[in-house]
Amino acid sequence: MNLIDVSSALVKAYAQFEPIKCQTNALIGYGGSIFGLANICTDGNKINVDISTNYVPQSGKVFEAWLIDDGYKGSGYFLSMGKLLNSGILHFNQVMNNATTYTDIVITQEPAGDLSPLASWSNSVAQTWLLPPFGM
Amino acid sequence: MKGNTKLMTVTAFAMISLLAMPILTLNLQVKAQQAQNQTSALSQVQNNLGAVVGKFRGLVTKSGANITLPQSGNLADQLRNLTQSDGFKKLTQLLPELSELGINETAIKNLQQKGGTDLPGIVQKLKDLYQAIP
Repeated sequence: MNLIDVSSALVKAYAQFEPIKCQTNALIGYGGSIFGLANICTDGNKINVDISTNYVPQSGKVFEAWLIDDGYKGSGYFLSMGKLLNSGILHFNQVMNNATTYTDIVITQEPAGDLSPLASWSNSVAQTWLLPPFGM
Repeated sequence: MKGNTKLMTVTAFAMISLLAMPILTLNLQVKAQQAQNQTSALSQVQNNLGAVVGKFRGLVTKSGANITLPQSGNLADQLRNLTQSDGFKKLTQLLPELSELGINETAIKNLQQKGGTDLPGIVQKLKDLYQAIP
């Protein structure tokens, strides 16, 4: 019984100190080209996302990046990481309760100064699919 | 006389309350309707976005393209290898299927690039970003 308690405590302790895992993914443009790159690192709680692209949004629009919790198997929740800067970059850093619940990154084109906090899903322009530890 | 005044005050108060009640109830109903509309707009976006995300994943799997780049080696070369792979070419042919779900094709086709299809440029931008912000 004691051994079980000890191993359970060790598992919990290990879970709190997961090593940082990184992956670099191509952001695939829905038109069939490379939209850009996304570098994602996480230790389970901290998440760091860097995005770069050469594409420029249409006049009066901005690119916005979203973390998606898979709509079919997950909650369908979408979290805005903010808009890409005019130089085509985005840096997102946050400590989450569980960063690995997210499964995809989607880029949408939104009106500049958009009053709606919702994702303009029909104006999605690119996506990448995150590998484990994401989607666990 | 005093009793009459009291009675009139109570009656007036009761009438005001009766008049105000439907207005308050109506206001609450409007607010409840607004909240319901917002919830349905949210779930509509979640459903549609979920469908697009799921479809994209299906197309990637079907094409056999590996969109996660190896961590070792030159990133620009890895990206170039991806664009020249059979999997990526197949994915390019499959992606128009996304329009069946309501994706705005015009928004994608009208996008322009700074510096053309400069893959090393995208890589350098990413490297600059994670060197500047550790």
